[in-house]
Amino acid sequence: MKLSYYPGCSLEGTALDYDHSVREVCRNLGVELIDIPDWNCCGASSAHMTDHEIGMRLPMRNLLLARDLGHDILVPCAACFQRLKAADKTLRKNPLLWDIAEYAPSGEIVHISSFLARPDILEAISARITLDLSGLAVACYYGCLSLRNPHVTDAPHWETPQTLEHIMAAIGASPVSWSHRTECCSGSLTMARPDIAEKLVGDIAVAAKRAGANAMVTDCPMCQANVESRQVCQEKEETRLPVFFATELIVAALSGSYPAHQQKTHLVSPEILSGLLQNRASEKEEAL
Amino acid sequence: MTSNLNTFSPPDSAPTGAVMVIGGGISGMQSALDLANSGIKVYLVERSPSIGGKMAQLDKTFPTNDCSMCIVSPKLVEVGRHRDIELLTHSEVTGLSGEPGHFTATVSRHARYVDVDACTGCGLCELVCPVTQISTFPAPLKEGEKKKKLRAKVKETIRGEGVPTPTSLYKWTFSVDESACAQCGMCYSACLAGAVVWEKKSIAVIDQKKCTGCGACYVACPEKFSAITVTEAPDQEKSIGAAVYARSELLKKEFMGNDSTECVRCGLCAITCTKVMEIGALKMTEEGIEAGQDICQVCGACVSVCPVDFLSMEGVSNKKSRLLENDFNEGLDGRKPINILYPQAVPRVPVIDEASCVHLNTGACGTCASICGVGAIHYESREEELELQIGSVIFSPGIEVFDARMRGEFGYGLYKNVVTSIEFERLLSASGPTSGTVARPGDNSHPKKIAWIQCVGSRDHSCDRDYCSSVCCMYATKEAFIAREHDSSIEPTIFYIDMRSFGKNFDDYVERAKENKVRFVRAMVSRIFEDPVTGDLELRYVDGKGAKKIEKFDMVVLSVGVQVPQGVKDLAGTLDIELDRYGFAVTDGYRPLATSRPGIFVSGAVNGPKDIPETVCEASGAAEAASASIAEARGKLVAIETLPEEVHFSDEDELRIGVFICHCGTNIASVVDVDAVTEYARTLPGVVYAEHPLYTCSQDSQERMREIIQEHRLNRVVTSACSPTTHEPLFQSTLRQAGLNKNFFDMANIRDQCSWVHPDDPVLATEKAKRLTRMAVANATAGEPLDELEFTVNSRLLVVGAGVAGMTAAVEAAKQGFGVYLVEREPVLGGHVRHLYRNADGKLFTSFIKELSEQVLQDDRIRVFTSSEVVEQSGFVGSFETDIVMPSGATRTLKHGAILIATGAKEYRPEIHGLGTLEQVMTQTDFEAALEQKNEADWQQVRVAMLQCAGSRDPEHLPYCSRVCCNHAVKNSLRLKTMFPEARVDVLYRDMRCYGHGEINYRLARQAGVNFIRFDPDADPPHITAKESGIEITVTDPSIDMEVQLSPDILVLSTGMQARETEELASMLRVPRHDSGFFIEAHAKLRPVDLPSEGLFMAGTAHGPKSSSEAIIQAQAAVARAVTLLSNDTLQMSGIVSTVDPTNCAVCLTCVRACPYGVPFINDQHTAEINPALCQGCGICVAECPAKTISIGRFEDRNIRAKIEAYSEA
Repeated sequence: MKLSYYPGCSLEGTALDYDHSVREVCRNLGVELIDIPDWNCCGASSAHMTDHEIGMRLPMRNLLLARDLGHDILVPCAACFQRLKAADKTLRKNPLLWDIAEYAPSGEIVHISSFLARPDILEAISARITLDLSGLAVACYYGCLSLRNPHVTDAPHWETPQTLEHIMAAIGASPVSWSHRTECCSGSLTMARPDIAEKLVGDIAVAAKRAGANAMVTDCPMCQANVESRQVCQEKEETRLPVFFATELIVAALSGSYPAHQQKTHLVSPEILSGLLQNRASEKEEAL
Repeated sequence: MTSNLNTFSPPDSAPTGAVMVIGGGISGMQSALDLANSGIKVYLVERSPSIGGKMAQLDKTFPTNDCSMCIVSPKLVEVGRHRDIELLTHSEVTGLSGEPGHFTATVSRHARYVDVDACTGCGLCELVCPVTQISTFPAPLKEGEKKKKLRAKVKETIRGEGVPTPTSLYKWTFSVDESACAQCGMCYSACLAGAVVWEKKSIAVIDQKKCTGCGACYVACPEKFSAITVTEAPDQEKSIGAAVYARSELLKKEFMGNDSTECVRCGLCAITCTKVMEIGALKMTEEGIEAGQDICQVCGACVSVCPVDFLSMEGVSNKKSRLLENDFNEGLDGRKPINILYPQAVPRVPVIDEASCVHLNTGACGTCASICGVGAIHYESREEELELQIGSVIFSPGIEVFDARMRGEFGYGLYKNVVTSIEFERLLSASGPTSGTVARPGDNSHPKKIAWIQCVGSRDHSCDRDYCSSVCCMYATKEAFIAREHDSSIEPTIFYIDMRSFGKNFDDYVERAKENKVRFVRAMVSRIFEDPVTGDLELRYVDGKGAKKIEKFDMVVLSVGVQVPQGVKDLAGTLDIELDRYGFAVTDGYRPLATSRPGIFVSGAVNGPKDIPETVCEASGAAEAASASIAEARGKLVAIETLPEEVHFSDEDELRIGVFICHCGTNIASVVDVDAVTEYARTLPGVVYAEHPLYTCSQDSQERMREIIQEHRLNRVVTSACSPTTHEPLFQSTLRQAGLNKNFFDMANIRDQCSWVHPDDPVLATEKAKRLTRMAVANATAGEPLDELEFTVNSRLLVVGAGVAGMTAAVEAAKQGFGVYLVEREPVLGGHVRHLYRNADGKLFTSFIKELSEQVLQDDRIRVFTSSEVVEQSGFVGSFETDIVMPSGATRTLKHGAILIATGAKEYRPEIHGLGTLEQVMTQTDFEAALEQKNEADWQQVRVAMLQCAGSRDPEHLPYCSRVCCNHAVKNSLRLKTMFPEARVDVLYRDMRCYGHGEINYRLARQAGVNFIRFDPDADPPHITAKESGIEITVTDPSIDMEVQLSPDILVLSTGMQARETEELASMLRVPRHDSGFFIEAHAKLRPVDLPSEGLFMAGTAHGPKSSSEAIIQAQAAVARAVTLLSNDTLQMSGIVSTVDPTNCAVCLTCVRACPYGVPFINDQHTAEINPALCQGCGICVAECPAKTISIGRFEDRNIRAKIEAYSEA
């Protein structure tokens, strides 16, 4: 299987490890990723706030480049996905308005979790894992941009998504039932209004802990950075929750290891995962 | 599908006198009854196994809090027993060809696997069926393929906390069949008690002293030998499954109340798995039960036969078990594959579900067929196709509730304590999954704070449900009200947008709910969060002041709207009838019950969301519409029963009583010793015959009863069986067929009132059954024959009032073939609608009224009396005499069989805000007229303010809601904005009550820029000063929380509707009116157009405010009801009526005052008299009469005394 790949800026910066894990998972599953050549900014953040046309033309250029490749486009970043979808819909509706003669590619824009939650992919992941992550209670956290607005994202269950839960179940982790899965993490306010960010992230982390989670898992690089960095605990004994990328956990399960360099990418200690993997490995040895 | 090539019939041939009614809910049932009672044959096609529809699922009904089941079940029974209604349940219409009057329908009858005629509805099959889950069946065997023995790979032992303790209670005897034993020793190694003696190459022997009866040997013996035999096992002759059930029940009783759930080694689980299900996944071991998890088919049989709750689904299988959900209880509990839809179902006949029945899928089990006493179960049943010849069709398939998962923010389906309103109905229902206890599904705890969220799947453009579902405000109020009746510590809160209590007496009901501590919060809840630990729910909303609120509740009920199911949309496609974008039938405002295809009529919620009384109206109306065009075929296809002459007895004749003590399968016989009761009955005075049939009500038993009556020359019959409510009419008709008077019968209920309530005390229950039988025999002995009065019916209808309702009624009654007298007080026809211009569809009223008047005047079956009034009325149903005064001053006496009141209503014109004195202040009707007369230039930039509830919902004016004003205001403002886009409209309102499809126009009006400003009449009413110089309005707009000033050019008052002066008429006809002057129907839910007195009906706004379409529907409904009387040559009155013995009458007037129907009067002999034709037989006067000079047949003192004496006899 071949997919066009749009990493976006986060995955070259703060979420570089996310990029690595996506590529690793795909390599393992035999999915060939072809980077869109000369891709540019998706138009999120500053662009679409500044000027609608710039906000549209930027992702459109990427779409036109991808069109030549002819595959579905895999997008790990929720913001990139949202912008590319918006541009795709606009362009399909009236290409001439954007000075394009014709635009009707058969390829679709696919967000990473919807891709990984396909039944065949889930089955392939399950079949390839070295160590399952049983014992890891995860709160699956989606945030907003990959689901809403449903008219843009085409998400079938924008309030009650299940894709991350299915992925987690496939690698043996236990997703908890909780209510804050699509709450706002305040990613866009994290710099300007840390007071708001801390409040919203705090609510999310408290809810995840109350549901029995010992880690959170997400598919959005902004959520990951924001929820780990803005978790301020009121009391000392309180533990903070690490936020993993879904692909990061898949790689751990596939390889059966969680290397030190990967652990360093977290602002909250991810020892829960490294400890769990060690236990699972020794259990397995004993069983042999 | 609609090709009529093959069934073409010449237009002059007589139409088929039959109607197919699609859907057996309250709508279909009402249509069927009205048709069948007026000489039209009915085929009632219902998709589910029994009729009853949504109404049967409801707990109570608003606004009277009547129990839904209690009021619907007499209808169920009547439909089920009606000889001119052919019930086709578990069936679907697959095609319709032909043309009006001559349709051919194809109906596919799904395989039910239970013979509807043979089944007695005892329910035993459902009890013995061990399956509770949706099983995982292997692929069906190919031809010639042999069933492979399953071998488990994954084996887990289910252990208890302690050592299994064997029980030898009700032990079966196992022994070895020497001729079959292959000496393999499997039994020897399986036995855990060391009771099998075996050596190599020798036949095994079981030591009965050591045997604990666990059956491990029996399970272990290879199938090909089957050398272990079972004896001493009750019901074994039926099947091994039946025997397992019998022992399991005995053990369950034994261990009842025992807290321990340790394995008792009864072995029934393994026997069931191997011998009944033919799987063999379970094996008894020293430690517990070994489960072959991978070969388990997850049917749940082992768990359901376990008498001590030792086994659970998680233990026996590694596959996820899927509970077989009881759809009638909205999946809140489970059911069996063989299932009677609900306890009061008609027909009370189970259906076997092909997807989950083990026998139908693997050929194993078959327990239900083995236990059925009447052999009603036929696994070989197949789907059948059937062709029906019919004249017209009524489409009333009903609705389903909105799928609340589409509103993900409320977490329905994820949060256990978020339920839908229909689920909550089942939780309230005494026959529901919690027996009427309000419990949270999450943890069965009793919730205190419960929130209702309104408009879930209604008034919601985001999920394509733009319409209002019309019923949710009221049902939520009712549910909150009733929840507090069940548990007064419950604190209900209803979150709503507008309180749409627009129906008759609905606002009063909401007020009562408020007094009863139901809290109403005007807010839309945006989100629910579940506390994952406690299951409590946190609701977020913005209150009236714009403040964000967070509130915790224990439970949330989503007031889900109604929608048309996909299956119904498909069916509409098959029938070729047009639906709107939401799936509701498209109809015309002036022909509100006619679909786009001639000959097919529509009724119920599929014709737009509506409540029960409106549905019943439409159902009667559709019955009228469907029969009008085939009226000439009336009576052609109905059954005519000929009965033998009644045998007369004199007092000297000896008593010859026959007694039938029913087993009711095992319902009675498993507790009551029916043999002993029968023996006892034989000793009672006058009893010459007694027997105990398995099912007294089954068809062959009834045949036999008739023969016995004749053979033994019986003159009294008594049955001791089930409930007389359901079965007395059946037995009475058998008596009548045998030539006995119906009243020589009595019935003792030894099931509901004896065996069912005393299962633990068979001895005393048997004594009680004897005593109940003795009382019934005594009562029958005291019985006297009662004559049923018969009199001829005048087939003419008197219609009072010639507005839309009255004229429609006259035209329709004439089409039905009956003569009509139409009396109108005014000199012209048309009524209130003459002052209106357009209906909700935007069509002009003038042409409609003109056309209707012409029809009335041209039809020679209709005699019109304008400028005439009713002055005197006498007679009774079937033969009334009414005097009218004509314009000449002359009086004329009209003779007729029924009366239809359509006296209408008028617009209220209160002297408020300058109405009547200022030119720029007008009512909606005035404004509508002004709009019609304006042309393009007049009102380009006019500023209009509309005040809703001007003089409505106000104790100083009209205390009620007039229902039509909100839609009227929306219609007029939309029209103004269409004509003059620059015009400005501000509508000041309390609640916008744009029910049903009216909501769509309300949205259009908002989009068109009409400004809606809500006000609170108590806390913050608008200040209006209307003077010659101009109008000034100050009002707080809650959406911006600021005061706004309006200076409109025109102030339009929505003033509501007022009843006409009908006090004299009402007292003449002895019919009750509400304080507000509207007539009161016989029953708020199920008899909406009947007046309490027989033969009197009403239609239109005389009943209460309503739209023209609703008035037309009511007119058609009232005609249908009247035709059920007028179509008879003679009417028979019940023999059970009150009679006054004048000797002791003191003329105290007690009976005159007590009678709710106004029947007793003082005659010229100066004594009270009761006209038997008018008497309803309620018996109130009998109980009230201080001189005890009124009596009522069947309930004479001597009857009651005989029963009491028989009770106290030793």
